[in-house]
Amino acid sequence: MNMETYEQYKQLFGIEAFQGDFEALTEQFRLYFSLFHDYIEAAGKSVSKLVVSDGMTVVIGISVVLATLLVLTAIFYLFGFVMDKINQPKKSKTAAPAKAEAPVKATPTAPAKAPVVQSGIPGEVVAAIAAAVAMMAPEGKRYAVKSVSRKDAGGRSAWAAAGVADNTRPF
Amino acid sequence: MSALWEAIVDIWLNSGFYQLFNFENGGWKNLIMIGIACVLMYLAIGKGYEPLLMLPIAFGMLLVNLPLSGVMDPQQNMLVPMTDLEVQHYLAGAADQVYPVMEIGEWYYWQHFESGGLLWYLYQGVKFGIYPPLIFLGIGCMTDFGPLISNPKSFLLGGAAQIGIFVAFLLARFSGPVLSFFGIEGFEFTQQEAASIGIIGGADGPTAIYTTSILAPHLLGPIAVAAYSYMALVPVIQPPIMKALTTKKERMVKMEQMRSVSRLEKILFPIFVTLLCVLLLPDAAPLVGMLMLGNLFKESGCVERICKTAQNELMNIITIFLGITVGATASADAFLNIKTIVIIVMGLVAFGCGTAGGVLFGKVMYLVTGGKVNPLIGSAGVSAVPMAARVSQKVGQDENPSNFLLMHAMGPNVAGVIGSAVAAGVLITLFG
Repeated sequence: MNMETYEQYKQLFGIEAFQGDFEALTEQFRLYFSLFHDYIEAAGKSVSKLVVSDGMTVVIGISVVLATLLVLTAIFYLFGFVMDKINQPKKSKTAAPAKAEAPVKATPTAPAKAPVVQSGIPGEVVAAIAAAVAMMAPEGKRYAVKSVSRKDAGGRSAWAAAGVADNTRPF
Repeated sequence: MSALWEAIVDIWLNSGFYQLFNFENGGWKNLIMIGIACVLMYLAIGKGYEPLLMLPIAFGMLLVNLPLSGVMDPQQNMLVPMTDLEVQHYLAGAADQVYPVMEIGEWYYWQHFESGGLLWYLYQGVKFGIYPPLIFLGIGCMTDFGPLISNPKSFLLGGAAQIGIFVAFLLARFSGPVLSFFGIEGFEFTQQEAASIGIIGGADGPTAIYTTSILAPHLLGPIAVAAYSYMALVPVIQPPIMKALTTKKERMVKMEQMRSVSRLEKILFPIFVTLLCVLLLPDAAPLVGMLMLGNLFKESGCVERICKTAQNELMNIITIFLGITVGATASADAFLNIKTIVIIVMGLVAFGCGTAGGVLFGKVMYLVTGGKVNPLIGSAGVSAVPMAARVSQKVGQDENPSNFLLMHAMGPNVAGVIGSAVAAGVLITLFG
């Protein structure tokens, strides 16, 4: 923005600009509009310059970010497709022997016996332990909890014993 | 007696109290900053607003605004010309060398060294871009990218949410010319400053600090305070935007269960992401590289000790150093000016636009997939892990109590961390 132009513009719009005869007044109005036009043009140019340079920056920036993530999306879709293909034959092989074994072991299996639980241990704790054990079982295998009892941690609380075991494991 | 009185007056005149209440020399600004620091400490302790970083930031701000504390004074190395007599003594070997002597041609100088303040030395880790990547190392060790790998289109939601960064950049750049047209001056921001303001919209503290320390280090204080404040306010800022941009039917969408992700995929993920992002944007290497290294530590399963160290001890140490030194950049002169208010307002705009961008892209995906994607997970594309994902879960559950969006939202959430690091790399490449 040309500040000199702006100052002239401000001064010309002052009350003293309207003094004088008609011709002089017309001349002054012509000057006002010419200066106002220059002012708007200068402001417009600086804004349009900004629009072009920074607008391009924004377009480039968003494009690069989205393009990078699009490529990552494609790579990991492909990855998932390949992993599914790799795992699919293994699943069909394990499914076939499982189906073959099932008719052989067609005898009804007795329901699993309830675990022997030490007195004082709530049922919710037994359920949580059973769920944790089930999570650890590899695919195709089932573990049954046979008994649940408290272990003497030798004077330490269970958490303290776990902490000691964790810290000393690497050694 | 008069000597005693003079000594007392001397002590008083050299005390911080005198400087603080010396309003002619701007001591009132320090008082205001101490007040702001106390407010931030209340928000951290009393309200629980991101206390891990807000508390050290607030205390750093307090320390630096206590007059004469000198905690952020830079180290000074000066060359003081020796007098002729001193030169004679030095050459005769008789001078008491209080300081080392430097010879430049025929001239001799004392090398005066004054050590800097404690926080100035710690601040070098921010200035040289060391702390934020180490924070990302710890974050990588704690992040599970499984939801993202199982649903790769979450990457796009994470990218869409970074639109807020660029919208705020444009607004910051336009604020100067538009306001000066109306005669309001002082709102011009350079491209570097505007980029640093825009990165607040990524809702990622370490990324914002890293980018600002490179592009506009003089704005580090207000930008860090704004970034962490808005991250703490995610549950307040996001829900109205999410509800305004989605319909009830869209919010009630239940998404399919995600496929399970194998260990091999989780191990290869950080390697692929590093290769692609760093080759494309080398300036993103410190952030993306350390994030992926941390994740590889976690997923490899063979470096449990260093993984634990990275996510616990190392992360805690760096958090302390980063927080207190970033807060110490918020001196009265740097913080109390009109630009700080603009930064805080623009940061809010960036955040809102990021949320809106993610939700709108979520709506596009809802349409493209025939209603299988809930647009609410798009808002989790801002990098505030895991708060943004929890907000998506909560807003979705408000509409449909049996809807569990948390793990679906974690995908865009962690993708947003990568997206904001990539966006930071773009800005540093363009303006650094």
